[in-house]
Amino acid sequence: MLVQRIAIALFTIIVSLTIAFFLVRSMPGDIIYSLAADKASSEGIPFDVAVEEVKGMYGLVEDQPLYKQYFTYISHLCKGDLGISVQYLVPVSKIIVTALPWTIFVCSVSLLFSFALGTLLGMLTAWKRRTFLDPLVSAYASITDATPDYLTALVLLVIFAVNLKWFPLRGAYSVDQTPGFNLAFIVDVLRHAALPILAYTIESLGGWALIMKSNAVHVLGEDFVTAARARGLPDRRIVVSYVGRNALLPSVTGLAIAFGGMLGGSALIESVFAYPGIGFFFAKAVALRDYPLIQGLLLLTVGGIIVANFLADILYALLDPRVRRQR
Amino acid sequence: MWRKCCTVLFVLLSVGVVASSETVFRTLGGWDMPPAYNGNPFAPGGVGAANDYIYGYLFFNNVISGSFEPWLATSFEETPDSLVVHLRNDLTWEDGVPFTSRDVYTSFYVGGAISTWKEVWKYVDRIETPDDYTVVFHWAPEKSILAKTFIFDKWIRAPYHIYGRWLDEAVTIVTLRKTIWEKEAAGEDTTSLEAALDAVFGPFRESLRAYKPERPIGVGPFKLGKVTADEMVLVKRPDTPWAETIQFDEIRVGRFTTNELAWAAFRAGEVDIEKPTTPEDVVASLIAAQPNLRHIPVPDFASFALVFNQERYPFSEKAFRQALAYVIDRDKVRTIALRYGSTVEYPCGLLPSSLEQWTRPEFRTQLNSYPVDLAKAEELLEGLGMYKDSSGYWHSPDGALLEFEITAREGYTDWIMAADEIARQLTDFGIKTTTRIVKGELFGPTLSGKDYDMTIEFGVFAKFHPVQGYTRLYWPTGWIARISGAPLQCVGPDGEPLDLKALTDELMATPDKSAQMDLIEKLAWATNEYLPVLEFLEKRAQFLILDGVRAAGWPEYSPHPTEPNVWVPGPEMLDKFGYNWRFATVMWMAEGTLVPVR
Repeated sequence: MLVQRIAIALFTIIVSLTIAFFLVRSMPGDIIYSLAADKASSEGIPFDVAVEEVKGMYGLVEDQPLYKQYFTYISHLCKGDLGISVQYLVPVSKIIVTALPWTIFVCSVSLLFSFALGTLLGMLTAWKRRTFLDPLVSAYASITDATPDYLTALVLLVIFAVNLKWFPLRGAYSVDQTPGFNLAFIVDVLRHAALPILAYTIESLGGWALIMKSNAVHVLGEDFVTAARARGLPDRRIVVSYVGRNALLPSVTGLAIAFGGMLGGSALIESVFAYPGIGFFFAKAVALRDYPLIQGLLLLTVGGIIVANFLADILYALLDPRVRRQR
Repeated sequence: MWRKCCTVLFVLLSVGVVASSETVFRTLGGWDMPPAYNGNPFAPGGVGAANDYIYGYLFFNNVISGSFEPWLATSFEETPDSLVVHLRNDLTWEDGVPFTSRDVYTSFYVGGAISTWKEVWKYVDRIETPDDYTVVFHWAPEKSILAKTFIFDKWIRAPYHIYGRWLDEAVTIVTLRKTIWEKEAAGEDTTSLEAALDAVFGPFRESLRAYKPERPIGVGPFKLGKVTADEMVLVKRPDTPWAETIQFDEIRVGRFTTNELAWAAFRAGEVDIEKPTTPEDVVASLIAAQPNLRHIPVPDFASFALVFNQERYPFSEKAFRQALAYVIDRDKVRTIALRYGSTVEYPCGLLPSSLEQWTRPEFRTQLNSYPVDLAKAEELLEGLGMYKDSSGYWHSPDGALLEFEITAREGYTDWIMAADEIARQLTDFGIKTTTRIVKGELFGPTLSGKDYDMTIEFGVFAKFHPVQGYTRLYWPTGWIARISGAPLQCVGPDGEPLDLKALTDELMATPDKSAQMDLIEKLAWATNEYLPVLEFLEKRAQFLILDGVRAAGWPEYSPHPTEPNVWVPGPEMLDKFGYNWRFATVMWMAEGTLVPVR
């Protein structure tokens, strides 16, 4: 069974990459114009001069037929070689290894925080759904959903970094720190990550809370909960073991997808907080049509989502004995 | 226990970072993050914002006064056949190797080979280095009044002892290109030469791009200390002649991601100078929070314009373009799109900041300012046989409703706002107009494929001389000429034929200023009359300077007499900010005028 699942996951990855391979290469547009317009604007040089300069600097054109490029790509991939970024002439794997840890660190912590808090809040809201908590959580979720996330991030930035100066404005760590496993560096990294994590958590926990509330309300109406109450079981046990565990199941899939998706980087965290991450390279790769880099990053995202779903399936089985029995 | 842990964590997180030094100058800039970052200025990912602090020009171009200020060179002499430049003899590269004429030679050939530098190499035949501190640029037969300016505009950043290994190929590439340009101009076939060029250029580029030192080797007063994804530290070099006068130990450059982050950094007092585009209310709010903040708009030598696709009816009709000019309130568009830009009073291919410098007062009275005059616009449209229906919308003589689009590039919010406002004004007048936003990489092909009615584009760029703007409009290779399809010949004010390309060519090769003005006036008249584009504003860069907090001694500026929260730059600031503000700050530091506040 496990082998079958792994085979399906691999097949999905290959199909996704094949589609992505041909899609990215059929993207319309003229990158030379785009880069030249920016260059002419920033340097005040004539557009035609800028075009010549950009052609010189970036004028790489794949002259192999598309099918040959595809087979070369797949054969290299099978050897674990993601290729070389055509613009930076740096191995794609090196770019991913450098940028990904920051993305994983700040996004996964944010995601876990928001999921844990949101789920807890959703559970409580469902349990006490005729109290002030229900409208409060709904209103909070509506407001954060309607508010652009960068606005929340900017407000946090102005309050905590500009006015109170508790946290740094931007970046992942101070340039004065020596990266390594030392307390000063770790504290510095945590200080820099605090606001991005807070912004992400504030923005997304409402959504998790509503999902959890909806699931929990549905479960609360089930017979086994009524039976548990009739048996006089304590509220805490009913909430955690009977309602929580069952209501959590649909959210686990959402969490898995969100984990996979985070590998593409977060525009909020990377642009507003100037946090280094994979999103910077994704944007550059698309803008410069750096196909090996785009492919490498897509592999990461697609692979991340598929692996996360695979893990979610396993987690599902652990959380739900019925699923375990079916298998 | 849990509470204790939280308290300890909060205290740790709340501890501020102690400033590393008091003599730090702070700004923002861009570069590619590690591992893409490298020290090769000719490769993608190379150098980034460090460029202005570690390299240098031969002379600094003062754009308003037109003077040249010595930097890596001390003086120059001009002869009809050459430009002789004398270099400083007291400079070394960061690695201790003396700076000589071979480095200048290498910079021009390697830079010209990888980036073309047509504006230099079309007019320079060859470069010679008779001794270590003299460089001779021999002019080619084709002349340009801007050749010297563009030579001084190039960075000297290829030390011979590092980039000399690519020099032979670079010389071959530059020579081949020059031959191709000459043959193209003579209408000769260049196929075999182009094949020969490709054969040399491909391996040259790949080899040069593959060179990726960790850090650049510069000749300027600062060197790269450290670079991370977020911050770049430039450290003062103790071994340059500028070391004694420069009182800043470090320049720290934060990575510029968004205007909002730049505003936050100014609000927090963490940046001394940058030029983020900033709305009026944000300017006021920043100044309220930082009373030492100065907001100084400076001409950017570029205009925003409405370009007409003259291959489509009715934009091919001069009277129709003029009618639109009478409808559009350019000042209103400027207020909405770029509040601190300046309105183009006379759309004629000359920027407002240079109109008086390059035209005579009596000529300016002949120019049409196209004031908002709806009656005049209606008269012009009726003259074309167009008519208005009962609902107030205009139709062409064959009864078709006049309905158009204005394209604007995605992400350029000022262009989009201008397009929206112009569309609104035209629709109110009775010409149904909407905005079409086109993705960045599709924008160029959309325009060059003439798949548009009207578009917002840069009108002219003319940092050094008006001829730069007219080449964009009237050289067949000029971007506006290519996308507008406007004819390059027209009839002059007295019925004489005007060849606009020939006039531009002549202007490019005419050194006498009075003769230049004659030619400029002809081109300005034709542009004003035929409106290949309708320029509506000149860009102004909005400099924000935190004066007297970390750095003091900025050149003179004064409060604007009428506008709140605006300061007016003095001549020195205007001259230098118009060219290269980063390098200007280095020069002021080197002069000992821009100093740390102690």
